[in-house]
Amino acid sequence: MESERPLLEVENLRTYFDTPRGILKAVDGVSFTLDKGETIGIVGESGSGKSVLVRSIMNILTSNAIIPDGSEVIFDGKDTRNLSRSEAKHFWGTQMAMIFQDPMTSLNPVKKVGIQITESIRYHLGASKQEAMERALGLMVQVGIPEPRKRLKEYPHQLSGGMRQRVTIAIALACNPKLLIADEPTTALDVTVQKQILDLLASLQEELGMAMILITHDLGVVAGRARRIGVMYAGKMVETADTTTLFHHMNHPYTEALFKSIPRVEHQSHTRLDAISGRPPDMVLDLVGCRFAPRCRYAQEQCITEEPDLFDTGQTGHRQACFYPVGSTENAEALAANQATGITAAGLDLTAAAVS
Amino acid sequence: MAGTGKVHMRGTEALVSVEDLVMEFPAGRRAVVHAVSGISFDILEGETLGLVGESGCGKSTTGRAMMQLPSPTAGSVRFDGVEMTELSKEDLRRTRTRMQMIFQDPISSLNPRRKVKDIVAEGLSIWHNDAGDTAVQKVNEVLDAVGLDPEVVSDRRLHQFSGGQCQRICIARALVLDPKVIICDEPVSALDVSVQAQILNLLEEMKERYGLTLVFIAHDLAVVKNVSDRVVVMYLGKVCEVAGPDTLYAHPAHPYTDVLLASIPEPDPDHPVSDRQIAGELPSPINPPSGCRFRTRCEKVQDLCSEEEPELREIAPDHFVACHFPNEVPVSVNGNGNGNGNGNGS
Repeated sequence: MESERPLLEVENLRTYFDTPRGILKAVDGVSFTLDKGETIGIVGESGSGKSVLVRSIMNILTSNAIIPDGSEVIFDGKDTRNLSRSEAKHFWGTQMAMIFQDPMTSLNPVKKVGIQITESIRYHLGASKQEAMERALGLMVQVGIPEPRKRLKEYPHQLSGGMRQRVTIAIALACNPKLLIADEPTTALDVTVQKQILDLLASLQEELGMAMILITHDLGVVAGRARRIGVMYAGKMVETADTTTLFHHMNHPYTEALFKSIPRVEHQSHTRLDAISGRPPDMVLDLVGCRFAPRCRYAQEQCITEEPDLFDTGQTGHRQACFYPVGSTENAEALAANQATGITAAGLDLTAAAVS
Repeated sequence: MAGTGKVHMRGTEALVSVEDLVMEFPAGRRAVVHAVSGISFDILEGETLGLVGESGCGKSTTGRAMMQLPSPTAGSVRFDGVEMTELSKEDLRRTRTRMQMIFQDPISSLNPRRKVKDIVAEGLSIWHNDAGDTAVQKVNEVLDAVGLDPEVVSDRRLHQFSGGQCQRICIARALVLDPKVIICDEPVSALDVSVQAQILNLLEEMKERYGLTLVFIAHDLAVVKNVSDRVVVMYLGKVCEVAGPDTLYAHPAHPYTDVLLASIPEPDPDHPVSDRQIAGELPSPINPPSGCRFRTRCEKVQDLCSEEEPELREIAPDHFVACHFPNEVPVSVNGNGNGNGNGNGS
């Protein structure tokens, strides 16, 4: 296992955007690796940079994106950023494929489902129309679409939301990619359909041996699905660990806060939720110190002036970026100090924090 | 068509009572969409009623029919002693000031070209209450109540706000006319979990502060459970189960409630992912299944289910289910004790 090189190595990836307001640092130094057949979950709020991260990996950024030197994305031994457009075209679909949040906007509304699935099969695999249709039919069965022969001749608007997402999965799988990136694949769907789609992705992954990056804002979605989890906040990875380690030994206050904001069915009704007050920082500004400090209950002087790096916690594969990790004595002291004054070093009012 | 039963109704003390509500829409070529087929429920003053079900079960249609947006095909909606379906246009307009609505997508339900203070004050200006300082005060008061600083936000427009803040503005707009009832149609489905928690807490606070009665419509039972005093589970235009949220979670009696509970993603890696999954797709509401509408996707289906429609019946105190073969619940109607156990029902 040791000797094999990971499928994907992301090293100090930074993705900036040149906007009228200034340079927006959407992803600011993220590193992680992904083995063949493994699933990593990336969790964070809207605007934390998780979608930009995977778009950078796939090399499908808009033209105002800047990737400074020193950022590396090595996929199967090759740097994806050095691919020319024509090389990239052969790369997408056969090596890496992506499914998006809203299946209605990622499908072409005026083309039949069958045409949309066969498009890449014919382009990449050079299959004839007939062969491609047969393959498309097989894919439709594989992703669990009833009456597949009839559905191939239908348009996206004739399908339900869950069925449309199944079609986008079929398209993504058409050319047997080694890596599937699922960018909030179930956020637009009902909980019941969400479960169907997540179960489908898990079984397909096992069957085909693909690696997967599963992006979501809900820790509940990745808990049972990913082997490892990375938590992102304001363009940085703040904690990464094996799924079980992460849930049992949450170190970063942001991970803890995300976890606590989920309404749990086990709790009595009308249990007050621990919401995270405030909002993420404006990433156009030059940020000093820990980016979560203004919203953190434990923030101290050090958090405002000094930016914490990701460091090992001592547990294998568990890294986190907080000076006062949850569960440590420093953390308890920091909270006690803040509660005594009623205000954190970053100015968060702990008495009012309970209100919103 | 057989009604779904009314044993769960609590009589005259209710603030809002909906009886035998039917909503049908023409779908061309003489086809009819049976969006809501004879449902009944009532809401006590100060209560939060959760309506839960998948997309297409008629929960939003029910919420809108209560507001007469549009008026239901048949059935009655009584609000504070007034029959809403029989009101004249003008009386309806007046009554609606006391029943407000919040929608799923906060950004598309607000006008992007108008300033926040004008959006929130619109209800007041329609009722000619916008003159003078009291109107400004009222707008500032509700903005402040929803956690926005009036000084900062009043002159801003929507593009300067995040989704969660837009939902706060929607809530402020709903509050400005001092309504009695607010119908919240999937108010948190489009939001991140962290923001969702803020909005759920805010709704609870507003309920307390303004003495509101809420109807909370959502597809996620975990969210509904958190805010509700009573939950109605809907499927394809019918009521499946009615109970208090804690009872419903501890002892789900309807097989559909079971599936809804099993679909909630558990933020706990040691909790094995349930192998229970809802089978197939929602049947077409143009041609709904005979008998019990859930039978095409139900694990426990028998011959009786297609022949006869189950009526709501009380299987434990304040716990009603419309199923021929419900799960056993520990407390029967004749027994005593409350059904609010904490155990795991499945």
